[in-house]
Amino acid sequence: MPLTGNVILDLVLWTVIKFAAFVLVFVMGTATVLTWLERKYSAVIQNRIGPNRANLGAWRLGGLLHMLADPIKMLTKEDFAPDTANPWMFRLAPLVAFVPAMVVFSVIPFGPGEHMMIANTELGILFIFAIASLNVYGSVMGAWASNNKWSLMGGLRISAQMVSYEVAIGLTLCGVFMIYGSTDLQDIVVAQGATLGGVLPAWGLFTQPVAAVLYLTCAIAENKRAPFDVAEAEAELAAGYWTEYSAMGFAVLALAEFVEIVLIGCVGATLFLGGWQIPGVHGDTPVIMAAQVAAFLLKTLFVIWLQLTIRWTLPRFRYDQVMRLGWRILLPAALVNLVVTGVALTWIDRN
Amino acid sequence: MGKLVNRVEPDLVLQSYVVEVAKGVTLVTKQFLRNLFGRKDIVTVQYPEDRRAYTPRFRGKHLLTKRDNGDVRCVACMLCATACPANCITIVAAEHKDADVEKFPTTFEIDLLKCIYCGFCEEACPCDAIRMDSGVHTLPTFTRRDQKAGKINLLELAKLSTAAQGGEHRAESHAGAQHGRGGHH
Amino acid sequence: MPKVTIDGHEIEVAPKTTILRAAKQVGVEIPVFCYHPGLSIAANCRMCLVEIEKWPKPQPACYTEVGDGMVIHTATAKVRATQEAVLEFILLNHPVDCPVCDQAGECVLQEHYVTYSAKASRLSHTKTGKPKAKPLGPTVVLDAERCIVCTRCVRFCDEVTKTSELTVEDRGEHAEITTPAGVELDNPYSLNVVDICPVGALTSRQFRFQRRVWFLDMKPSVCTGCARGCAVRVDSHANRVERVVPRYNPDVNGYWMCDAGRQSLDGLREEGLTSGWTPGPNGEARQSNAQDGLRVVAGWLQQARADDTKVAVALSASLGNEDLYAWGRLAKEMAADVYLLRKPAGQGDAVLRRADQDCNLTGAQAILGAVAPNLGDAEQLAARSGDYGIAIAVDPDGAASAQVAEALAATDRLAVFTCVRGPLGDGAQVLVPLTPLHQREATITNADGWVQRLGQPLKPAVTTVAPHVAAAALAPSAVEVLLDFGEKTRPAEIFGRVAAAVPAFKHLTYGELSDLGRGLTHGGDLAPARPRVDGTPQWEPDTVTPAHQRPFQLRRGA
Repeated sequence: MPLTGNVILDLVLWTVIKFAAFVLVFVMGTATVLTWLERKYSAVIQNRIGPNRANLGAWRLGGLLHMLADPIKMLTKEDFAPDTANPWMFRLAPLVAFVPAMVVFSVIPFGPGEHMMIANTELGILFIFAIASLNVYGSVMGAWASNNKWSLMGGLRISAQMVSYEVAIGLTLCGVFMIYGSTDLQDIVVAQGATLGGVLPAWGLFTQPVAAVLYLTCAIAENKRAPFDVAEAEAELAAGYWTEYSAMGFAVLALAEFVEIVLIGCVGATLFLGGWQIPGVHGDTPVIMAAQVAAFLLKTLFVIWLQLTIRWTLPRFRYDQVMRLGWRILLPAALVNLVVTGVALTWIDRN
Repeated sequence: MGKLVNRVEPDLVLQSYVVEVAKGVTLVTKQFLRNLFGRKDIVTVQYPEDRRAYTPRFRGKHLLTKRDNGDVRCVACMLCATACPANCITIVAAEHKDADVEKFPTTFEIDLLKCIYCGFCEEACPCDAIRMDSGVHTLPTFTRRDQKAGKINLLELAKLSTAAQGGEHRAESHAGAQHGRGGHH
Repeated sequence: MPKVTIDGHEIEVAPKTTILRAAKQVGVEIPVFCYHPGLSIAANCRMCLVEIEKWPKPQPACYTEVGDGMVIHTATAKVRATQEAVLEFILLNHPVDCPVCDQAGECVLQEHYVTYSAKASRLSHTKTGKPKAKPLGPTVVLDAERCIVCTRCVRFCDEVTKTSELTVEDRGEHAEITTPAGVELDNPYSLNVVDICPVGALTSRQFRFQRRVWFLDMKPSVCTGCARGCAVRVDSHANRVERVVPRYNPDVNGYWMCDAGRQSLDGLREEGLTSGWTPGPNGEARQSNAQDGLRVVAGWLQQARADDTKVAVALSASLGNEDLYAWGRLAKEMAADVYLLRKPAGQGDAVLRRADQDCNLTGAQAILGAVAPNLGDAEQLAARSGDYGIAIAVDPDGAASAQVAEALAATDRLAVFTCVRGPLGDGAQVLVPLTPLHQREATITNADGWVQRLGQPLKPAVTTVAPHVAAAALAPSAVEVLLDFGEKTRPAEIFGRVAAAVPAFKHLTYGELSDLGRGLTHGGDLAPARPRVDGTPQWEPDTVTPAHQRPFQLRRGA
């Protein structure tokens, strides 16, 4: 396609529209709802009522308005930074944590066809790894810049934990590339439209069940959420790496975490739950395509729900347990999975 | 002999966590659904609108009971100040115009910041003069000075008490005295 | 020498010894109300009844003298029953208003009731009413309902003060302590009846309702009101004297002390002087603490040393032995003339009070006579005041007369060390606040040469200075020789130097003075120690230890 002005305009326009629809509406919307949902959900689990006080006159809407009240509060309250903090790094850190989490959504295929993703690139999952890994810099920067012992220790824990689980998650997903023979996420999703023995959809969950479990575990650990939230570990480290953050600085860090929840949901749905595929449904009519987009979003929401529920089910690991799990169980398991997958693929090829 | 604790030796299935996490997630989801749709186990009290009733034994802010004529019943014996583990009661005694009453407090001050609400003062009081059954919380104030409850303040709270007020002193003191002596056994 | 057996203990005692005293010697305690070792024996309370073998009825231990071969039992069932009956009888009309009674906590009736009876009253009638809060005189208030008519107070007024203001009126349960018409209990020793009252019937107007006794901090000390130096116990709360009571000392005051002495120590209620002044840059008086004052005076003395200015030191005869020694030494090193300041004579009597109001005159004369060569009387100062360029007066409680104050103020520069404001201090360029005697360790020597420790019943203010410390602080800069004790030296060590330097003190050590004190050597012009006050053999004081200071014991179980 020659890059005429119209084509470029077309490309830019389409990209903006897709970005707005997927990232701004779906991702940010979900992340925002999650700020309320997480509290409300945990409350109901724990026989409590949860946030229900924000209101518009008589309307409380079950506390749904806390989603609006919280940003207003966060924007208007004092944005405090310690005197001894490094001002630049301290202010930059939330953005460094937040932006990569947003950028990686550009390669997620939320529907069938090359247009149903913001940036159609063959790098796919590798791009996600490359960019999402930057996220750790934000947290560690913030922790260091706070010039606070607890924050620094939280930052140390983050760096060690994220580097450790980065290795395991990378090796885990290698199994998926081997099965589907591509790192392009759209290719992987398309490949998951097949069936195994004509019955079971060829989803990553069924072709790589061990990888699916390992992925979820590592992803939660990457996101520093319970039971792997030793980086904030309020009982030991005040609030860990974000102890000194308040107002919007804190809000952005917290939002980055929720955006990552959505990211884990998208990637998990794409790699292990067949992406936009609906088993047995094929075709390219607009109705089917819309249903497939909806299927992708629903699968994403399922993985998000799974993350929330695990968080409110399991107690926090001790820090040494986190590291032992990462290096001595998850990494070997990922390696074994890789070897077994390789052997199985070779065996299938031979036969 | 100590208490026996049965420790589960973790096998491979348990150590893999997967099954246990699945069990936990199921349990949590069940409770979630029950609280959402079924029988609600919610225990939260919506505080400003709904309040739990205090037990009759709740120890609130102190009060000083009165005689029939409205005088303070306290005879400034300082047994409350003696029993007080926080040393928060300051009493200055003076001669009462009625020689039968003999002694009364010109100053009776409780430093509510020091008070630990143990109730020893009402236990110690031989005249049932100081009580803590007002049901009133001690509220925050802007100055320390305001946390010193004086005689007037304590007497105002007397109407909140469940105790019978008044009583003629002379007869009371004799009856009380005999009861007191019997009580030494 | 009769030999008796008391509760199985055999003892040989002097003839005419009473059972009570014999029992005390073997450590058997017999409860009493009316008996007081300083008074005649009345035997009217019957609390001390004991059983004597072959005697038909129990006998009062306080009154019955021992006979050879007597076998005495103090804890048999019969004695117990008697004690219980006596207590029930005494308590029959007692109001039992312990919560409002000032005696509670140090009440003999309370103690004995808990120890020997602990039975409920069986009285179903109304109790006999008697006057309450009835003033007997300017100092004492009577609650007749609480009275057990032991007549200790009546005997005190008959025998010790010989003024006989008190008497018992009516009979039986109507018996009541009172004063004859037109007579008030108003003698210089009236408050002793409050001390000896075993119950809360007699209360001091001054101490009444002020403080429950269990809040008091009780410390042994010595009265400094006159040259008698009565042994006292200072009862304070939060560093404030609430009450002063006599402490038994057979060689000084026996069981008693005078009302004026109590009032002199009540003076310690008021805050003493905690700041003085020094001359400012323009000669104005500038408020300053003891340290600043000492610095200025040290400067004066340095200069005086350089230009041979004559220095006069006026020392009060109410300073402690150690203070006088330190200042005497300082005066000697400076070749200063020493003058003794004396308070005007007060009223003395045959019981305890001495006309001489200086609590340490004997000590001052002995010590200054030994260490300060140029000792003169303050009255001579007026004629010589022109000779001196610098005068220093150490006068803790304003003993200097107006005439002496004027003479001292006539010198070029006057520094006054004192605890009170007065005409002397007002004429001074430098006023240094001193620590009063009862706020520090010190010893004083009474008119009979009896040396006692003051025991520091109160804590000092940090801005004041003790006189011996002031002397030591002034010494080095002034005379370039360090007094051979430093500023940090404690009175105990200085007292050792006193004993070494002053012949009359030479057999004394600080430690052995701690309880009752010791007398000076007889010799020189010192009077011999006076005969013991009540003429009775010395034995343990008859004061009741407050209940909270001794282990609780219930002799007969409930």
